[in-house]
Amino acid sequence: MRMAVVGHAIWFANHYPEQWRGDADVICPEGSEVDYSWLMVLRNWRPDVTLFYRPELYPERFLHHINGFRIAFLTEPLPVLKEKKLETTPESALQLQVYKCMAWQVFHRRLYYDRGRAETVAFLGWPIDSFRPLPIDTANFYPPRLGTTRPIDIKLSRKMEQIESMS
Amino acid sequence: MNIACFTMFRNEAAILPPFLDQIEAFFDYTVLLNHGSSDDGPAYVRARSGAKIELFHLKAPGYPQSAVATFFAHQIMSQHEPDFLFFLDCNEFLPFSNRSELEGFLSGKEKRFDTLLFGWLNICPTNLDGGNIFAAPFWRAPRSVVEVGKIVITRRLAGRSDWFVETGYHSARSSSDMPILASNPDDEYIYHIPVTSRLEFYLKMAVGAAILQKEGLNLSSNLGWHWIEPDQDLEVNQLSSERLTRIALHYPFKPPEKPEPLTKLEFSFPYIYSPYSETAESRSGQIGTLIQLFRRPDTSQDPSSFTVFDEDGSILFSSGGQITKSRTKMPSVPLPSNLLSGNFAENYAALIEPLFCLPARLPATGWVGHIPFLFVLFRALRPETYVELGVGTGGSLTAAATAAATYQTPTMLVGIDSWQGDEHSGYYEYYEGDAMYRDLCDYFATTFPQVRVERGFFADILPRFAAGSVDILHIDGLHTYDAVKGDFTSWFDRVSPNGVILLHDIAVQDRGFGVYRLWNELKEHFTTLEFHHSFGLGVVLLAPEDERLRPLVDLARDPNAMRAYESLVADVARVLPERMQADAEDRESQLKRQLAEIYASSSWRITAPLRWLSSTFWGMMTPFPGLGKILRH
Repeated sequence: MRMAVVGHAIWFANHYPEQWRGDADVICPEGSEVDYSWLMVLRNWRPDVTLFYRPELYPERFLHHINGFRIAFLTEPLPVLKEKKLETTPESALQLQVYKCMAWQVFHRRLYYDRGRAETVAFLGWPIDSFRPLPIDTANFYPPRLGTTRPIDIKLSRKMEQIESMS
Repeated sequence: MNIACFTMFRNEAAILPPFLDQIEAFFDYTVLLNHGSSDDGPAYVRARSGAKIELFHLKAPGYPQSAVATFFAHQIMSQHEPDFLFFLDCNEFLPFSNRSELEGFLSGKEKRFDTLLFGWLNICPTNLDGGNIFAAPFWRAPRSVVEVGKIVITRRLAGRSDWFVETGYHSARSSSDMPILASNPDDEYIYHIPVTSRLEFYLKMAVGAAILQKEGLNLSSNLGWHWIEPDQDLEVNQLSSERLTRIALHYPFKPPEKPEPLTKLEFSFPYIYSPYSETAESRSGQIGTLIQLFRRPDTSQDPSSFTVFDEDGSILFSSGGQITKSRTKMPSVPLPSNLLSGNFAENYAALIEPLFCLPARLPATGWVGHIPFLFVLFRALRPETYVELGVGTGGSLTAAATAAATYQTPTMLVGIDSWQGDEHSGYYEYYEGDAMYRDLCDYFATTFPQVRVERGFFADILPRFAAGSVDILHIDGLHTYDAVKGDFTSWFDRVSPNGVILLHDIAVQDRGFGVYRLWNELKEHFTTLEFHHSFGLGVVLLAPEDERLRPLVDLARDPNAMRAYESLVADVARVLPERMQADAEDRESQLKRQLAEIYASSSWRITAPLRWLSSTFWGMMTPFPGLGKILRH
């Protein structure tokens, strides 16, 4: 079976720890987030299954030509729903704007990572098929264990533009 | 009763959902032909397609409505055998409440007439602000316009092949002595909505005026007036809603000097349940159409050429060859006999399957015909180094990079050019060469980082390569005999002993081109393949004993098989631009993104992209006075 992954390679690494890069039946193309013409490679490659991380980024006109079963992993956080109103931050509002580009109908399965936002998903009317944790590489992304502290070399307290506006 | 319909659409996303409601309510079978939409229209059709609704795509630089409608009319009449075949545009709606009423009206007419003629009864939304027009009443014209009515073909024409549909679907004409019996329009009509909103009207007017002026159509008989005179109104003051409504109701004629009182339409379209919805997508699609009209004409394409293909990209028919009566995967090409016996599967995978790959993008290039074969070569050889002498717009280099990514080959690709031009390709202005070079650097840096673009002369960059280090050398520099021989001899030792050398333009023998002379010499000494389309490509196989190249060597040793293969490659390449929809839509998608961002904010910002468009394309619009004003407005 030919499997393709569209997204950052490090997320995918945990799917296939046995050095997937050397497998001729697995492809993980990486390319520009300005010009998505590199997706044509997948059309040529004709995978049986393609996993899309951040599926909202990719233009529909490339996606529906990609062969096989297309699975979308929606990975961005959603705002909380309180009294039928979304409690957005500038960040989450922007993410919602980006999600408006999502070509839902192109995907055969749509998975959202956070079951805790099921109410928000329902409110937005998203056609999510199931809620599942992201299959990410836990060697790089892992939650802190209770009672332990993690060594911190750099602490990011604000975004760069916030820092600039303060100076 | 069996009723069918044929519809062409282009950037009609706003009105397609209600139109599809009508299609589902009245017709047993419908073909919807997408003519280059850049909005959500095709997706809406796709969502409802099935046995009753089929979606096809038309790729055409012009507007071959008559040829395409005639083909589909014959196809539908022979394969689906309808009693009636309608030709509707997306802004046309039947005046019947349901299918029974329509059948009652049509009953018996299929025995008496070859075609029925419906006049247009123009209607106009009472609210022109862009909301759901079907949720509010319409104004109606005092009478229908029969001069530009729409025909319906009856089953009486089914057995005949001597008729064609005219552009506009206003009539069917016989190409023989046998006449076509048409009904009188009587008082029968269909509702026609020439204007759905104020903004749509401005854009439509700009497009219409551009077509009129670009194609030099005459404005006799008041036809075409509606594109020109409102512009003068805009110059003096805003077009009032009432005047706009009267223009719509009298379309395509000039409204009378003494206006008649406006009358509400009694009909409420009970078969429509989807809203008309103007969105950033639908509007930007219309703007995209307008921009396409102002583009510099592509002189490399015959304006009357076209290709119709289905959702899988399979060619249904094209203007380039015989029009086929049934669906074919590709134009008929005799396959090489040696591919049909023995190790067919292996040869298919090696020689044919890669031909159907597409490059990531397709800049204008005379090399386009050889792009499919480049995929074959990459799959077979899996090169570690590909060097291209003479890059130009980067068509072949982009294809090579795509092939390397598709087959996951560990290839370093290097494109070398001075971007100064030469006596054969023409000398570039300094800014043209710079722009080409910068564009390629930016594109490859972000999309295919394994590509290196080197600006300089071939001889200066040659020392950077070790002997035997290049697996594929592609020579496409200056095409004089001395120049190409110099390139070949100086770079020859850099090519791997198992390498392949490509020479473009071996079929050109005028304007001082001398590649063919070198090619004739090389053929005496090496195992070669040659293709004669797209100015010709010569392929030198330095190691014919290399097992990776065996399918190609087999071809080289069988002239009949090679001729058939060459024909196949040329046919696949011919439709490559049509299959590259994404590239053509790049510009529109940029507009969509910008509009989507701005649309989410205040109404003040809505006008920003229009002003931006107006100023960006100002230079192209100067031959068309007044259009800039429309866009600004």
